[in-house]
Amino acid sequence: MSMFSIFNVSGSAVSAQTQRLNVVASNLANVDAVARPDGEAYKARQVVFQTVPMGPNGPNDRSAAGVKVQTVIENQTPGRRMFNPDHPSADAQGYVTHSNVNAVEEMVNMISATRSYQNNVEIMNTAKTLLLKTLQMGQ
Amino acid sequence: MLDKLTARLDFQGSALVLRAERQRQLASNIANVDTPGYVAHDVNFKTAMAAATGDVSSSEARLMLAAPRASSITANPAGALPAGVSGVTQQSTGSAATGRSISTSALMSGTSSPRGALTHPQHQALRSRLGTDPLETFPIQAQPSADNNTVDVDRERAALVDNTVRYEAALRFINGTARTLNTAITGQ
Repeated sequence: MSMFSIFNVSGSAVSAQTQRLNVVASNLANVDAVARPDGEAYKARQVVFQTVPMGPNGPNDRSAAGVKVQTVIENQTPGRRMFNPDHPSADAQGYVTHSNVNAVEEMVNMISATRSYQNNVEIMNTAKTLLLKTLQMGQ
Repeated sequence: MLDKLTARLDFQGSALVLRAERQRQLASNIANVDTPGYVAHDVNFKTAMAAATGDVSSSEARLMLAAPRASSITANPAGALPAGVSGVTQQSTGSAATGRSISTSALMSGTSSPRGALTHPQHQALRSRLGTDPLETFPIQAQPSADNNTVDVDRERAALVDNTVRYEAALRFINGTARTLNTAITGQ
């Protein structure tokens, strides 16, 4: 029954979106983090999605396409530098390096991930309803 | 005699299978809404249904199934293109997103010759499945996205609801036919 692979497809998408939400959470948690003593500040992370074939006839069946997190990349832009000579982490010029997380971007990312998650859950619900109705066929 | 009894069931049965197939395709599209470079697919229900039921009276399906497949991809010299795709020739390879959406729309418009035609030596061949499988269509993007993803969530959601309703309709037809047959058999 080909509709069962919908659960694999949407399930993989839900899992990938959860991972994306997780990354957003760590980015937002570190939005105000300052640089470590070695000068390295937290770098914003971003997931990269990739399509996975998930058809009912094995791993090479491309008739259904799930999704997975291929890799997590780090944003390499330099962190925000603020002049704060009193701060214990200030460097020789009196600047403190913060993480390069953009809170607004992360919030937008979060909303997008939430909506995608909801969409996929709804598809699984629809598939479940249809399968249950199919089970009752002829009764 | 018996296949006359169940002929209607067969038809609705293949409709049900194809609806399930389309449901899966739509689910794949929505799952990949954030995947860079993903190309949305859809099931061409009309031709798929005609192929599944062996309905040879549908001339369109017969034409599409019998059409020569490989020749149309590379045979088109750039000069011999119809007006619909001539704009692609001038585009640099950098604007891959718009180039793709134009050639896809030419693909969908029903003019048969430019299917998957390469209009520039540096263009990559469209996926080999593009334009070769008449049972599959590639929805046109209303708004091209920067990451070359061609999924339109609103469209997919609408198609999903539409497909769900039609799946249930097919189920009801099957149930109705089965009930009618039962009534006829038991005679009460």
